[in-house]
Amino acid sequence: MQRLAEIEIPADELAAACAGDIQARSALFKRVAPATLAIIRRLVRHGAMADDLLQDTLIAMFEHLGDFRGEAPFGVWVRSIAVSRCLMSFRSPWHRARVALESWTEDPRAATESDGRTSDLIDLDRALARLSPVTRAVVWLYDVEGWSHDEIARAFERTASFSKSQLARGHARLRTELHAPMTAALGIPLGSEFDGH
Amino acid sequence: MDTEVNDNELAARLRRLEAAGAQAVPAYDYHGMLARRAARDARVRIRSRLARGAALALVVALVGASAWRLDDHGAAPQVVRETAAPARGHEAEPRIVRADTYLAVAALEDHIASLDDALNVARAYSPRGEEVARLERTRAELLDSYAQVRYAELVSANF
Repeated sequence: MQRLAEIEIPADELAAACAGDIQARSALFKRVAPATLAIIRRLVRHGAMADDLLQDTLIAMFEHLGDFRGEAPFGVWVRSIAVSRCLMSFRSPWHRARVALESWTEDPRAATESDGRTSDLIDLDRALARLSPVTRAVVWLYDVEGWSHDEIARAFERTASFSKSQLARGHARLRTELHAPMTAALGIPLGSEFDGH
Repeated sequence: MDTEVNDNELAARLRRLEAAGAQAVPAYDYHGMLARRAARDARVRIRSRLARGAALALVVALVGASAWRLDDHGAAPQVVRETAAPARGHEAEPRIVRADTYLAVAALEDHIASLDDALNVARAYSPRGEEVARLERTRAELLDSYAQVRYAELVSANF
């Protein structure tokens, strides 16, 4: 699957979509929706919520097509809308209540799918699922999407130190989670200092 | 240094995880998206009307209850003169046990919070757009209802 940030749309197709051509809009939807949904699902793991955020993102994209300046690939612009929508949802009291509830009722292991990946990637996916939404978003945006700390800080309306501390915390937590099965098998208590080795 | 190596390794594994990710298939197409949006807008409109209706009904009920209690205080001496002792005891019981504004206040606050979210988005994309103006109008109306409920609470509490 093509990454969202790499998606470029020809200017004539964009102009047609901007002018309200239904076929062009439908084609644009088909082009960007799967990659947009993929990144939203990475940041917000709740399926129904991800569907709603995809809808919000793409509606905003169509409403503001005229504002796209073409300075970066089209996918980068759509990605910034999607990320901003996801971060906004994190601030909602409904989202916080849902996360708190799910942490009581749901096993994150059950929420991940194997779909043919190797076991280390499945473990990593599970470990990622256990991070808090904000920490997971910072880790994903920095490590995978290649955002800088300053860009993340701007998106969260916080400082670069916030981004750095969230990233460090996220990495430490991931390392602990990923080594937990091995340390347990060796009889080493969880949270022992494997970081220093 | 070790941590840095581990961080780089983690980042590489995260990128592999992304590359190995299955194709995400949206649950709807372009027309489905428009239909979902229309349905959601209709739900928001209904909720907004319900919240305003509930707030208005509550204001009327609270003002009515306050007036009734006021009336009751004025009429009390006559009733005492005309009725026997057991009836006086019965009259001393409160006629309104409880008129709770909690649900209406919570509904209004939730709605105002969701409007604030929507306003943030709308302002980010078009600060002087029609959508912003519409949302601000709705927010002002809800705040007005909210103020009325709070005022009614205050009036009721002082009787």
